[in-house]
Amino acid sequence: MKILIIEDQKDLALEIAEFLFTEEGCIIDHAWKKSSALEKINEVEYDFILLDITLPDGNGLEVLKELKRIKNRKDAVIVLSARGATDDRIVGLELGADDYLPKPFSLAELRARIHAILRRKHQLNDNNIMVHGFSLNIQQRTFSYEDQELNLTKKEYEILNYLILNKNKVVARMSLTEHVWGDLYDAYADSNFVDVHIKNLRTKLRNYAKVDWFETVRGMGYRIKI
Amino acid sequence: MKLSNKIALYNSLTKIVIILVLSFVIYVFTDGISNYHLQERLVDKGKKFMSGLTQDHIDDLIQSQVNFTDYNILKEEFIILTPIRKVINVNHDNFTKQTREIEGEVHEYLVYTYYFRFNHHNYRLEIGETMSVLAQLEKSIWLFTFLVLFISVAVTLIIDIAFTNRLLRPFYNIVDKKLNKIHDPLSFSYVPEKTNTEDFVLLDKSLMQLMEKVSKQLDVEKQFTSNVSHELLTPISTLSTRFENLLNDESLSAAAFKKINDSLLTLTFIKRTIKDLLLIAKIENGQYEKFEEINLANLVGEIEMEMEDLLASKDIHFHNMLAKDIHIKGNSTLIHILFANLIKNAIKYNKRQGTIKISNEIKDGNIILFFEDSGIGMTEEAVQRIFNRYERFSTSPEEGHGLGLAIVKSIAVFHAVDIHVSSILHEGTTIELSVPIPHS
Repeated sequence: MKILIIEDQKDLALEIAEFLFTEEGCIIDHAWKKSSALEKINEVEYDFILLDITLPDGNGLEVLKELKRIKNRKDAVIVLSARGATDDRIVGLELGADDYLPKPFSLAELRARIHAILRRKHQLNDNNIMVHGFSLNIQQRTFSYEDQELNLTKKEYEILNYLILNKNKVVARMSLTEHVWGDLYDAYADSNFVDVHIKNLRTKLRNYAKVDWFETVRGMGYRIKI
Repeated sequence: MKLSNKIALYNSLTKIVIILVLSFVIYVFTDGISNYHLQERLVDKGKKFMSGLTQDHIDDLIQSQVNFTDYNILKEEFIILTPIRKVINVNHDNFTKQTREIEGEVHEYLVYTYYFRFNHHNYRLEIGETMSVLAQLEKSIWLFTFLVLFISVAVTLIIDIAFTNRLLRPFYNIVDKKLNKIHDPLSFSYVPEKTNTEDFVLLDKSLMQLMEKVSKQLDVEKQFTSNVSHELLTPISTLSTRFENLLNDESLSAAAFKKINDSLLTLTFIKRTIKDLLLIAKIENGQYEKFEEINLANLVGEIEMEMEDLLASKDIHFHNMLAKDIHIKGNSTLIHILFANLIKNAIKYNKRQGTIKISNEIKDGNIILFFEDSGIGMTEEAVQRIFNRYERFSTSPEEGHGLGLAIVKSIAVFHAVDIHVSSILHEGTTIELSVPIPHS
């Protein structure tokens, strides 16, 4: 998978690149400025573009506009912003970005979004992710076992979805809590809500099949192995 | 006191003074004129009497009596001719005011006394004319002028008030449209108020210039918060990404893993604090709109759903007792944050199996909302301090970053909502929000 990271903060760009390269096996290209980003998108087609709005020589959204002018391009775009202005999100999505991530974001969150977008964009006929006989439909937001839909709560679905999109990786509890509950819970409060939900989820899944692929990694978090 | 009232009061006072002075002048003037005319008449009568006066005539008049007196029927005038021994002062005119009783009626007369000598005899002629007629006349004139003055003053006063009100209308329009109804510079109208009074044009212009400056200042602040958030959140983003990458290293020891994980928690804490501060800054420089219609019962229902895990963790009974049809106008995102923060606190500082009740009443055109919990409560002293930024509710073991209530306060101020907190230590806290009912 070819990814272009347009981000002027080199530290951050290199960290994201390291993650996407080592964990996801992506080929990474960088652009530190708007001008070089414009050159690159005109030369190469990417699977994914991570686009920071604040660039030293202009607004990143202009890169998005330029990209949308080029015909027959399917590059998925995730807009990144640390400005915290809600307008950025709205404008970005209106211009045709596929998603928006406010900085700082967790890498698990980024991975989940990338996989969700890839499924939506490139595998339109197959929105189902198979998990040991179960299947997750990210379009309809359902989870079923051999055509039988499981009766999951919204939060249980969210947890499963997030872990499956981060398949084979340990997802930290904090990251999972932030993803499902946002900042409803205090960062330092050692909440066991996640554990409770995961316990219920396992019980529900066990009615259909074995769930040894759904692991708790002690002291770290959770992992779904596929 | 309003300017128009002051002007009206000043006008009426000056006009009353004018009336008083004018009526006094007219009174003195008419008095002098009528006195002068009366004297002229008396002198004329004296001359008429004297011309063609003969001894026979005098004898005829005096006859056997000591003197001659003649009254007319209404006793308005009289003539008295008295022979005297010695002429006191020949041809000396003298006017006196005398009260005379004539046939039982007392009148005041102006008397003209005239001494003359005729055929070696001295006489005194007195011609009197009543002054009551004159006084009556004077009174009528004075009353009439007073009435005319009074009516004209009243009429001009009414016209004055109407005129000043009309004159001042642009002023009140400016104050109303450009000051009272303006809560943030975004809603300021730069359309000049129609008036040809230069002072008001100046006021209007100055207000618009002021508002332009304020807007610019706010823009600078907005830019600043945006920059600060960028400057702070980008390095945090870099750090958290770096830590997450470190965590992926499978050769990491358990101790190192825990430390990195704790660092990530610290970063999350910093991130949230910055976001809270940014939220407050954004509310305070007016980056939100507040025209959405919000159904409160539904909103509280949503929050209850969101917090079901939090409620369940303490076994708290939640009672949403809000009337179904209660609506307010505001920013739904902010009102959601406001309510969620209050409910979150009510859970956080509650006892196990405690209760939270949310109810409303309508009083004096306000919706009063009550957030009642059966929590640990606070001392009076703590209640006074809770809205200070970074002040924590109490020394509870629960952790929080203390900005929740500062956010509550900013949102409340932004929506013109009054907050009142009452609490009893160990029994619970009630937070009262007084929300103005929107005008439909």
